[in-house]
Amino acid sequence: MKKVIYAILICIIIAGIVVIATVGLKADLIYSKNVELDVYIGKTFEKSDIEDMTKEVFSVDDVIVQEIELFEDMVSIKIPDTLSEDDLNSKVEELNNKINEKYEIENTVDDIEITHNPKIKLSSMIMPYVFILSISMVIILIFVGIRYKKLGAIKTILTYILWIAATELVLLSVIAITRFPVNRMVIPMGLLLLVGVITILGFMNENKLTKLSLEDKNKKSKK
Amino acid sequence: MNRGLKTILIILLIVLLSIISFVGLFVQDTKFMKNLLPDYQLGMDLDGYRAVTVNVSDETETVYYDKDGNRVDEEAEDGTTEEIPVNTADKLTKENFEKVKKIVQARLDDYNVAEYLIRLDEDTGTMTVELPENDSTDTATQYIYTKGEFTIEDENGNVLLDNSNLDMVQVGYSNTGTAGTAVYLSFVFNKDSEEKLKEITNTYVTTTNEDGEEEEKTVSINIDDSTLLETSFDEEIVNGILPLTLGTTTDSDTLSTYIEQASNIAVLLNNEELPIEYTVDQNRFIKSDIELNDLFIPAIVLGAILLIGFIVLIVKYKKLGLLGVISYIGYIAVLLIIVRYTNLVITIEGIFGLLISALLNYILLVYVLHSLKNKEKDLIEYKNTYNKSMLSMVLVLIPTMIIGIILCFSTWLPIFSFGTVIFWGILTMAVYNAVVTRILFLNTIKIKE
Repeated sequence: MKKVIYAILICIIIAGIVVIATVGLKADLIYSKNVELDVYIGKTFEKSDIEDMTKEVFSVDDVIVQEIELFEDMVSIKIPDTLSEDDLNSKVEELNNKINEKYEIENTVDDIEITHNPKIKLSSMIMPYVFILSISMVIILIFVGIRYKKLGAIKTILTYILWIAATELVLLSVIAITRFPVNRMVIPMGLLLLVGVITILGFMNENKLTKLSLEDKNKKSKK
Repeated sequence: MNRGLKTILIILLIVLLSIISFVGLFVQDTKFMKNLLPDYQLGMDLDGYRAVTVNVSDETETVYYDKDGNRVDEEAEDGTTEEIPVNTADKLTKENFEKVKKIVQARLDDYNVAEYLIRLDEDTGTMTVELPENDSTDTATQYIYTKGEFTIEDENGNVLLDNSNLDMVQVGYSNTGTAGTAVYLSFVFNKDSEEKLKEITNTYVTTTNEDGEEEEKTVSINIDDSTLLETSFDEEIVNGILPLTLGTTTDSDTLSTYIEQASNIAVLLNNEELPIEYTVDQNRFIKSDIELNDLFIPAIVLGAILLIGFIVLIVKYKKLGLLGVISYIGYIAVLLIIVRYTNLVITIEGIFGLLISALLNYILLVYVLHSLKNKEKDLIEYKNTYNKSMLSMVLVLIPTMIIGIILCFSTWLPIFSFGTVIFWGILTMAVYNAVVTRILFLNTIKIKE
């Protein structure tokens, strides 16, 4: 059974690596190239209404609606940057009409500020974590090497490296294969998994140590 | 003290802490009620951010020529003019756009901006930088588009030294006695430029001519289009370090302003100048897209999971389980109070840190309760079991604590937030369970007797 699970995990990791190497990871709207439409409404509004109107006009599911400044009367709408300039302009006009109608205002298309936001490199999101987590890992490996010396320092260290790497790679591969968009939750999920694996391995090793010391005691008492 | 009474007092303390933590500690403040507990500090993802978009400048500068075609400073009679773009076509390359991004990144790091996001359009050079909104955001914004061109020029505008000659700029201050504290910048020039600086300090001096009149040859020290100082030199500089006093004061507020100004210049000049000129297109605060309403469903789900966890504890471990649940609620309350009082900035990573702490504390409780089960007949064994299980749990948590401590040294806010929450979470867990939970659990054995 164990072998089957390991084989499946290896397959997932290989498939994930292939997908990342060929197609790459899919970024969430917030990290990918997007168009920002800034609209001054001049009165309070419901974000959900704006979201619904935008989804309807642009025929997209992925929309981010945010309030601009502190007066809650201006909205920033982010949509994927996939349309040609002409199509975008006609859709913006359509959206403007809907907003005008809903909030009884008389904005023209020129009143809407259109900004093409460049994408954020996913590597630049991950890079700050690499160095500091590497230092943490080195210290952790030194600690477990000393603490679980009786269980075999090298074996324990290798187990930690293998399990941590495998878990993180499986997470990354699943995200790549399922085309789940990389969003603000992905890195914290990785951190959660890291702590989870370290804790589970800690429990397993502590139990092994307890058993080992019990066995030693029993041997001594028999002698 | 009676053990039962002790248990009741501890439970009351936990209830009190929970009310303070989850509801607040309100007092009358003029017409309104004021919560004495500090507010949660939120990061960019949860609070909002300043979005600054800068475009490659398409401005032009007017160049004047005299009638012979020589370049002059002002419009000449019968002369001609030419409009030259500030960014010539050969500068607008992908490499230069990337270079600008790296320089801005280095400046923001040097200015200790805890969290930022840079979007760069490699085709147009347009850059959008998202920064946390606080007192230093306006200064940080300037680093995105300020060119940072440093020059020492003679009276005719000839550049004697520039950024390429600079090694670094340091900020210093010294006590000058009654005049107060002087804040100065030390322009440290590279080895190759030391001789040049020495030559300048010997050339640009005040001399007396044959008629006995003083003649002063000056240089100007400039950053971009503003002149920091016009001066001549009194003595030769041989060590390659040019000191420049920004101001002397006895007032602490003025002093901190001088230090801030000096530090800002140092940040700018300790990094390369931008190869391209930029203009600000947009600079506005954008609220986070994550609102309280968005957290409602996850909160319900987590609450339901927690409730199931509580029921499991009570069903499986009866009275001890119930005390464990009470203790657990107290732990969360204490941790949240610590988060508020230590001004920890909560980011999404920080929220995950809180979740991990909550999860680990639950695991600890289950582990301890499991160890204590069926050992309630002997107080000594009971105590020993509690201590042993606590100790082994602490040992299990040491690697996680290592992550917490190391991540606390990060200057990148999401990492720092996660690290500090984990650090306080585990520290609180160890202390709280060694004191509060221990008393609660150990008192039950006496009650049984």
